[in-house]
Amino acid sequence: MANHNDQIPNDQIPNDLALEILAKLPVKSLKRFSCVRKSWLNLLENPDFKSMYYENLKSKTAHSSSLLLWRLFYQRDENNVHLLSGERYENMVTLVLPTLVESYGPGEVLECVNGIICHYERGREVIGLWNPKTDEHKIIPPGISDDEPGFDRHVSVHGFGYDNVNDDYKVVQCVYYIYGRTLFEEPVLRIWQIYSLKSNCWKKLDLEMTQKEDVDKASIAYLNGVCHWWGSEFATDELEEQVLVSFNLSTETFRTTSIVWVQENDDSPTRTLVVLNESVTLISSFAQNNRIEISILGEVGVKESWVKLFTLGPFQSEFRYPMRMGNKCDVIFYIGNDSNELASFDVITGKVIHNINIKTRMFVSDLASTRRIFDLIIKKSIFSWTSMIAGYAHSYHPLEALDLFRRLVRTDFRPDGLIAATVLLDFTINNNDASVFLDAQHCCIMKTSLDYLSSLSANDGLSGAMRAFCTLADNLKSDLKNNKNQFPDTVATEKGLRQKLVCLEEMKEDLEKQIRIMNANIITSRKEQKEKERCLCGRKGTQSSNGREEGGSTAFAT
Amino acid sequence: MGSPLKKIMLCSSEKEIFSVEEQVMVQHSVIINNMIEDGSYNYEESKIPLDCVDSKTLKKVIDYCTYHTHHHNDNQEDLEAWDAQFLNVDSNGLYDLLMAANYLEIRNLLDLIYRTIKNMIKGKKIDEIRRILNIKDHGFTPEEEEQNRKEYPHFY
Repeated sequence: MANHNDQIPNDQIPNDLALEILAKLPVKSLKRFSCVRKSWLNLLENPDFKSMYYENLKSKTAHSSSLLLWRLFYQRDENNVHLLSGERYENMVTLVLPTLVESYGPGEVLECVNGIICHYERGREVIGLWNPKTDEHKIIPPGISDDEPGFDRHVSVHGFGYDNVNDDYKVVQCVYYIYGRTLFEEPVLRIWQIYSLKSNCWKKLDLEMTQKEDVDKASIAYLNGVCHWWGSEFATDELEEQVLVSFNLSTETFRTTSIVWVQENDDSPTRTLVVLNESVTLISSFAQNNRIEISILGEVGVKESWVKLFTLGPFQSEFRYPMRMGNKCDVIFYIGNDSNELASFDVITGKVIHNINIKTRMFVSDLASTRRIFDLIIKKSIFSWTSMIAGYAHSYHPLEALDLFRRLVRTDFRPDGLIAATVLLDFTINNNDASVFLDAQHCCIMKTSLDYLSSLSANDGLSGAMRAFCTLADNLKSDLKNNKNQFPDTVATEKGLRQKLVCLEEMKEDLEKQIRIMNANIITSRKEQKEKERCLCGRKGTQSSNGREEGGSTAFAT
Repeated sequence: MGSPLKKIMLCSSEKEIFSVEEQVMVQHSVIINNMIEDGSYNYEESKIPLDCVDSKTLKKVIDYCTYHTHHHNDNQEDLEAWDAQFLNVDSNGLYDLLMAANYLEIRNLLDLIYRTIKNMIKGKKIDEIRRILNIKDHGFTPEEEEQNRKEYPHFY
């Protein structure tokens, strides 16, 4: 349009019409326009502008197309993908993912881009790409492995997306190594790798990026050739710094954006990364006052360009787990009550639109609500920690358990051997009848416990955990004996475990002497507090363990 | 809604009379639709006075409404091409059209103009935006302006 370069003459455009124009601009422009006119400062606080902006947002994001839903909180059993459509998401088609690893099932969905679903199996290093339309399924080759001796290898898939410059699909993963007893700390070594579907091979990336937060499965988002994820860096001053990492699949470079408002209060929110109106958007859910904040990022790399779009709530406590955006400018929530349903929330009005009827198994919700209570406790005692961790441990959520355990170690608490053993013992007990679960993760957890316990006894003298320690050793022995074939790809780990066992045997006799004295004291002094905590926290979490009556506190009673 | 062949009279600021198919205006202009519906328009005598719309602009507006009434079944691409050609006017003309569309409440024309202006100012430096939107009084004190320039140098 040739003649539009000149100014608009005559009079100034009336402000209400100018605002209509501004409301159509992308969110990253808002900051810029606040410098154009003083009356345009804090535009989003202007109710007129706000309603225009939201209206516009709604019209842009409202698709009639169907919604693919896969990020289900704390769900292990059902990893299927649901295709929802209709005004109230009343039509649901469930897509059954193809199997990735025999006897493991379909794994978890990472991302869906251009109709191609990327799914993976945690801890097994298997990633698949599935096109439901054509039912083509491809299992991509394993990543580059040059194992460092004495290090445990772990893999975390970070992103999947389309590289529009090279017309290629790519997967990004982080291979990280943890050395023996430093499981509570940062990995010693991280190697980033990228897979290209075109060349069907992996290559190493010479980059140092922050790893994604893993616990909620909702820490990644793909948008226009860029994979985004958020993670935490633990600085030396023990402050947690959260950052958004944006990895460009074409240039294979990344940028980070600080998530700045993190330290505003002590309440650590549950965060979900979503895409709203072609922008990376972070839903932060605060337990303390059941508040939800939705912030949209204007420009990658500019931390000032985070714009807080909505503050919703306080909600009833059961709406705590935002999963992702729906296709009607709404947020899909997981409802943490007994109904095991999902709900859709209008972000503009903050009202529940309707429930979505995807039934989930009972224990899932129990665990989620326990976690909610747990999150609500501002000053958590060591017993709330233990019960929560044990709750996860019992119901086959080892990663969540391990994650909490790592967090626990970072707090002021110095978990003693009793706690460590309690938590970790649960894995072995629970898995006697589920030998198939005894995989690399499990080995790693048990190894951690042994390492941790021996470091404790070296530093702090013998503790009341010794009995549990011995039980653990016995368990481990029988596990090894009964499930010899269950360590297919962890020969090194098994070898390590056997060495530990020898040490354990040597220590055992000495330990048993001490334990009679120690045990009585510790149990008595803690019993009272334990009861209190268990009422609050433990019960729900432990009911989840398939008929097991005593849960997180079992080991205390021994 | 009126019958297709009925005509209504529109009167520009220069008192020039335009005769338009009623259906064309009723479909597009909320204001005219309301006048027809509440019966305040007399087909024999009434002329709708549009004192703030000049003849040139009114003719454009009528063109727009007529074309979109008769071509609403065309494919999206063709319509967009026509719209782009239609809005290929100087900025005086664009401003006049904006005001007219706002006055007559022609939603889709308003939206089209908004989008056009949006694209004119998108990604522009602050001074250019002020020039394009003809903002003479931005309301900042020199000190505040200086502060902004320091804080966001890439905007200027």
